[in-house]
Amino acid sequence: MQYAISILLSGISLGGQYALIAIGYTLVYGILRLINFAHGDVFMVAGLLMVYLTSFLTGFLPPAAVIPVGLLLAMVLTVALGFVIERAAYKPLRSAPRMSVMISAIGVSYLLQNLATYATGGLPQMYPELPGLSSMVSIAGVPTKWVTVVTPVLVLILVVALTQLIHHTKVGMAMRAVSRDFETAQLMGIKINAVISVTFVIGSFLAGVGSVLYFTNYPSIVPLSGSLPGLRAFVAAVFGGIGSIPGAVVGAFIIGISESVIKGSSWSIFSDAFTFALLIIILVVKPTGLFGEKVTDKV
Amino acid sequence: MNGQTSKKRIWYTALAIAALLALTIVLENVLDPNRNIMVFTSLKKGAVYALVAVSMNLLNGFTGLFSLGQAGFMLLGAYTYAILTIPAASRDAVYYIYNGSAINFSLPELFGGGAVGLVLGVLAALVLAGCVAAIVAWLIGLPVLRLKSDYLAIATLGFGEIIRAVFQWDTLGPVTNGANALKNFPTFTNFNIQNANGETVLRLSTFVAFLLSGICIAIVVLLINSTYGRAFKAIRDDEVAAEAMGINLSKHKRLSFVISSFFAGVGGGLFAMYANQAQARTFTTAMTYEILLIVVIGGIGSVSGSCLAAFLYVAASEWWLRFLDTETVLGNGFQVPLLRNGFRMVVFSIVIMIVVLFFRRGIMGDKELPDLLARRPRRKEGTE
Amino acid sequence: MSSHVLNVENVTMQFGGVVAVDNLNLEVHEGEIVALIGPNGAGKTTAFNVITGVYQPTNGAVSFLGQRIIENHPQGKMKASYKGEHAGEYSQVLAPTPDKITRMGMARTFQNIRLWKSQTVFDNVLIAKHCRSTSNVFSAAFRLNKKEEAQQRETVLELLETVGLADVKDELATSLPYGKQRRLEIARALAAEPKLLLLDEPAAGMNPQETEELTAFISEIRDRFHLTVFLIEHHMNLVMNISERIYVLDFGKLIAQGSPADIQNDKRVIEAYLGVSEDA
Repeated sequence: MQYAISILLSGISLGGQYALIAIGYTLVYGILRLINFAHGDVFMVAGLLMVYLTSFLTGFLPPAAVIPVGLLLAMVLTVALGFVIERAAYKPLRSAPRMSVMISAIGVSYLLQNLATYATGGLPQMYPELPGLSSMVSIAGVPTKWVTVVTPVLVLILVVALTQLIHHTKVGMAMRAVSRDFETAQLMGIKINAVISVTFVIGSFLAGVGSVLYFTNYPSIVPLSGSLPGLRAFVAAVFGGIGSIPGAVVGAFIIGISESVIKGSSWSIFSDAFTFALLIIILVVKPTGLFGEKVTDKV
Repeated sequence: MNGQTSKKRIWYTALAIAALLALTIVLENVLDPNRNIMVFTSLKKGAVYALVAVSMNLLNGFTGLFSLGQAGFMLLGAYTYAILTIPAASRDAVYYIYNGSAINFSLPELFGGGAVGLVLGVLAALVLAGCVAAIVAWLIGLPVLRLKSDYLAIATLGFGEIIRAVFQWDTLGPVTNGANALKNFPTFTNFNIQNANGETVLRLSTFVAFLLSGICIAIVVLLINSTYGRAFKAIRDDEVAAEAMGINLSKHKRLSFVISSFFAGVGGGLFAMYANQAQARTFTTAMTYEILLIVVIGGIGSVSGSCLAAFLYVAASEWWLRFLDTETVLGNGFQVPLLRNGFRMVVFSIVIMIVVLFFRRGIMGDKELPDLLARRPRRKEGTE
Repeated sequence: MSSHVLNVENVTMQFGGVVAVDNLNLEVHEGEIVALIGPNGAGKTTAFNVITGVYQPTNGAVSFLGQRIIENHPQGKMKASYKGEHAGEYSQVLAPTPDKITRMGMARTFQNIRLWKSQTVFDNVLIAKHCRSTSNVFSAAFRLNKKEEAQQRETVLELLETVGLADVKDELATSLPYGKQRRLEIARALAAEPKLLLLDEPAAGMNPQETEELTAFISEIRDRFHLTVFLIEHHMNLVMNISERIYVLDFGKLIAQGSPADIQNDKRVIEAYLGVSEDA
């Protein structure tokens, strides 16, 4: 029983972390119809930034201020990274075939991974202990880190804030319009590039938050730490119906919990294979996912 | 193009290829392979990657199906080749964790051993490697190929990950050796000819790599220029029009997928020969990306572009840019900044991004090498 | 009278709640040139898409050369929301893909030209021959089909000469002027060896002189290749000049049919095109 609870707890917290990444995929896909392969690596870079910033800041700031300032700076830099990637690697290809943009995304992912390998020298980096998140707590007799409790709550708050933003602000309305019809939105005077930038900024910010939660659970980061969680989060986004935020969240929790269950069983080697098998089945049986809308092609 | 110039061009191309093959033999026997490891590594790996890149180009560039499953099919090919060719005597040593292998024959021995057995056995194993990949492609093709561009990409990518997990599964250990490498099977160096004293008299390893990969690429070129190849291009250019003109989309897409996977499988077998081992964890998504980038650099829709790019890519990453990875101190004690482990790949990925963003057509665009050489004089005729 | 080449029976095409084609009935006889006209959005292209297998009709059937090729009845969600007639009459489901229908002997052109952009004029036509080639992928790749290939190339060359595109055969299809691209699309359709040729607004975007040439061209190929032609058109000159019979579609419904002279004087057709004045 205790074992089951601990599996469930870690599944939920994993699911919440995937949800934050998955939203980034879903938002970008909704607007640009692009699988942003670099998104998982942005998540990894966010983790590394945290590592480097905290060790750098310890020399200048009182110990109590290091983590909050580091956290803040890491978020700002992650958001800036997302923004720069979009401007440098995707914007020039806006009129190019979709395949080119996807290849560019793969190229960016490759670049970020190689940069990270260079910076870290290929050595795993210790993630700093965050007070509050890293300390232990006991739930129903199962000891776990605070992050397990914080994650679902934080995800809920962020998702509610995001849906408010999308449904009740001007920029949110513009985002919805652009995702509905790119060209028409442009004709209606919506500044496409600004909307796309905002989308990347939001996506990167959420990935940054996700990375703080995710890496607190793991001892270290390597340059490839981003690619698999990234892919799993993407699967979650497809599972929930790409373009739909609630879909991404629900999908992410399902993926997170099933991963945690499989990892706890004797089939742990198949945890990724399972995720992808699920993806292929979903794509074949119901390509629109759980909450996605149907799009018809015109001849 | 009238019949005569096209025939002439075929002859020139054949001659050029023959000359290239002869050159590899000369080169390998004149230069000492032990002192020029980088040269021959680049050549062999380049030949293997050229084939795999061409097979990917057939799908992505000529049929317009964006698939990222190449590493998965290479894995299938590499394992099939390795499992079928490890000498029976070495099996216990290779599969020591699983107390020997479940399969206890080896194709080169079945063909009577010796030089003839080696050639026939290796060829048969490579063809079977391709067939296994092709059969798997045929099976997954039906559901997966209905998906639209990027969904297809992600589904095939997922397929690669699944294959990799399956081959590392402990239960299949007696066949796949679990997560451990398969070794001791015949490689390119087995084709070097030795005299009675065991001294190498004629080195053919690079030649064999070029020959095998060259034959496969030639078949792909023939296919692309046949009526089926034209149908593939029609699907790439406009699916709706292709279907309206009587081209069965699902049949032709599946055909292209199966053929591409066949050659990816053969390429996987060749890769195992190059690497002297087959291990599931080498065939990662990163490998597929690498091949995709070769295709992009060479030009999507150009076979000769893919070949050129494969050699450039491999030579640059394995050889020419090596110096970027070593810390260098100049004569006056000045340490060159930035140079240390990992810098090579950073420079490399920046170059790739530059190609992707600013030279989107790659080296060749969708032209072939003979086109470029032949075009100029013809245009002059036209303007006169 | 000659036999039916095409017979459309009670075809209804409903998208969600919108009925694009409502209970369409028409027939085309062998050797005829028949036009389908109607204001924009009347459902003409949708009707074409149903006949060529791009869309599956919600209800109704299509026969070609005396054989039933397409048939459907409302299914699933559509059962409840179906607004058309003759719901219970078609029990079979026949839904061949467009390529199958083309191989049966029906070829079409598109309203917005859909040539294969990276291919030459010659290859565009040659590719359409692919559906008639009997070689499998091995014999094609290893050039065991040399005879067939040579023969195909020859017929394509002849065809290009007939349609007057032989001099530009090595140009890229998209580099041709607009009128010639239209002509090339027709040549490509002819290469698939159809018995029935469906032309979707062949004169769209053409000037009067080009239209006149096209009119002559359509009659010419009909005679030379023993075709039956079914076309959608807006240019009334062309339609009235070459069609033997005309069907008029408005809001998805057939409102008139008959000879060009009948149609020109039909009150409902005039109303559909010009509108009805409120106080009339």
